[in-house]
Amino acid sequence: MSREPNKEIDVLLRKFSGKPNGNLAADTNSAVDADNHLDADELNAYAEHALPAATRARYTAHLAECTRCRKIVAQLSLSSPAIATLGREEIAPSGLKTFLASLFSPMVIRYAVPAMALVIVVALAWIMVWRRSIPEQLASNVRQKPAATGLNREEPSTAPASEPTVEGFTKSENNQRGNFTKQENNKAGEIKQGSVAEEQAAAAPSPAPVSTTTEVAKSADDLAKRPQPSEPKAAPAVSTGGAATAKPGSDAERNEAARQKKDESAATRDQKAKEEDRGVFNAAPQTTVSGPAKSQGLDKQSERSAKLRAISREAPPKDETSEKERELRTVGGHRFEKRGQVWVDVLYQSQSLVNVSRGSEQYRALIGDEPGIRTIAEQLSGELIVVWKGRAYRIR
Amino acid sequence: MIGLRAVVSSPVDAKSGEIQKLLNEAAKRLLSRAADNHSLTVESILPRVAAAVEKYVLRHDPKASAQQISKFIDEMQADDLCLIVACEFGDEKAWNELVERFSATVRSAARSASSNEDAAEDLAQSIWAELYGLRTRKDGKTASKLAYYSGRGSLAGWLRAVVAQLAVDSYRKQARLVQADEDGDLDRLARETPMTELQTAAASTGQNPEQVVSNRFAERDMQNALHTAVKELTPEDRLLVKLYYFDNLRLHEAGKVLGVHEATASRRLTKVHTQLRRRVGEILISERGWTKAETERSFSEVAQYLDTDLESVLGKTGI
Repeated sequence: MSREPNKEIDVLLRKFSGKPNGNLAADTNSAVDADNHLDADELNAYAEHALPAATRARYTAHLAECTRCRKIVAQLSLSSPAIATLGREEIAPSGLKTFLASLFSPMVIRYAVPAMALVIVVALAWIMVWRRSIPEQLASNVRQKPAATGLNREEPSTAPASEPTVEGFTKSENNQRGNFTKQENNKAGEIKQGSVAEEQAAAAPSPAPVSTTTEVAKSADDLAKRPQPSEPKAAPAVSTGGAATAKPGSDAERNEAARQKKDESAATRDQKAKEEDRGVFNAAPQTTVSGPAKSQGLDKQSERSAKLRAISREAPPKDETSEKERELRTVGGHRFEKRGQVWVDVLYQSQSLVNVSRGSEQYRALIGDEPGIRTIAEQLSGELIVVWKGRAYRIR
Repeated sequence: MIGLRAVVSSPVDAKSGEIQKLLNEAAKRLLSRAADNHSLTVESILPRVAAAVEKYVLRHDPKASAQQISKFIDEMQADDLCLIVACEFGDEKAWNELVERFSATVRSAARSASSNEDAAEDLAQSIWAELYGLRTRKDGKTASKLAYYSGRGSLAGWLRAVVAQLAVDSYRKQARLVQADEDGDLDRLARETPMTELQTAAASTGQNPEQVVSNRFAERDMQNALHTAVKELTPEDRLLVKLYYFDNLRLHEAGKVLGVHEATASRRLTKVHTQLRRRVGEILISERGWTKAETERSFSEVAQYLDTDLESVLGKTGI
């Protein structure tokens, strides 16, 4: 069309077709008898391309000469979208049916269904991962002193001679975060329910902050003595002398130690216990600093630990569990012992108490700053003493 | 191949069992295809089917095969045809359905074919009267336009065609009252341009009157040659030229009428240009005694001359 000769013809055709007194458009209508015009059915069939080839060719020849029929056909052809639109409006339900039917066509089923299944699997996996992350967040929110908590589990009567410094706690906490988080994950639901049996079952096999204590530990002997460091059972301890950490031992060792303790004479008990604390439990040195009550407390602790481990392994009956439930409860990572009518944090070592009344402004401020205390206070009714970040609170 | 023409053109006289069987089976299939066949029987629909086959197949292709005929019938609009035949038989339910489904189509077509709302309403009423058959034929039967629907195209399209036809015919009838019957023909291209017009053109362009006259004669010769060349095109190409240049359709519109894509129409038009250019040159040389050089020069000059003149006449630019 851009070629010059074609342009010349184009110009000539335009010119001659547009000239009023000499145009080509007038056709040969004089030769087309009015009776020879195509009827409405033929015009429509032509416009809709619904004619056999031979018939269409004949009508094409007529249309090339007949302005009247050609204009009608052109009008019908160009208005066909409007007709189609009307038709669609009229048959809208069937269009919907067609669409719905197309959703179940073999091609769709072949490709879309596996794709959808894959999407569902991925979505479920994501939801599971997301759900796991929630307890982690909770754990981080109510994070306790992991070392102290671990110690409490194994040595409830053993009090730290000196409270760990904030820096030390932070370091320990950071180191323990991974394991502690796991522990909390395992226990999150159980803590809420407050079931001792479940807690014990979870606590015994659950990994105490072993890796942390292992990392913190400076004693090569302790590390060497630990026969199965990969099976964490013992509680951690907070180093007070710069060397001690609680090292977990195997269950067998601990049981044996408990048994030995019972058999040992009173004279050698303290020393043996000390040795076992170092060798088996990797007890923290603070036990040596904790004063006269230490050896007795250690004994009790050993017995209790043995009991707890036995309970966790042997799946104790419910009545035994309920008996325990009256004595010990673990809430928010803290272990509490019922003394009279008061729940006492096993970490409590006669520090000065901050008295807080439930519902008071001070109480609200405290639980606002420390949501973990709120959890504990809600779980344990009545009076309780909780040690929180080195300070002891009596909540009534 | 079977010779159906004589039989089908007058179905009543059908003797051939084979032909009768073919049409019967096709009519049965048509009835079964219809979502609502309005309780029509094969016998009631058979004459319409046979008439459509005769009109669109056998009249133009007497040697059509049985397969072609079956295909033709199978492609008919079964629902629309059953509805129309039921209306013809006086089925009130079918009439109600016809009016309900297609009154909007008729009104829309009448509106687009009329200058105002009143005229459109009159036209639509006329169409319904024609469809209902208010007139009575000489044989006593009502003359309904429904009898002319073959079922080959859609019923909506047919109704639009009926409306357009009626509108065009009434317009032409009115137009004839104010002007003589249009004598426009390609032959008029040979009409001589009045001398006064040439003088006016020479005065307005400032050209030498002899030059103007020369150009006008050259233009007339080329116009006649072009007329001849266009007539020699195939019907399809000629229709394309008419649709594009004379009916002022755009290429995609012309392609739609022809049933081809715009690109195909464009290619075909380019081919037509080349063909016309060559053929016009041949005619000028052989019939008007022009030399080849004169032909080439005149093409260029006339085109240039016309091109400047054309811009004021046509708004269309480029192909």
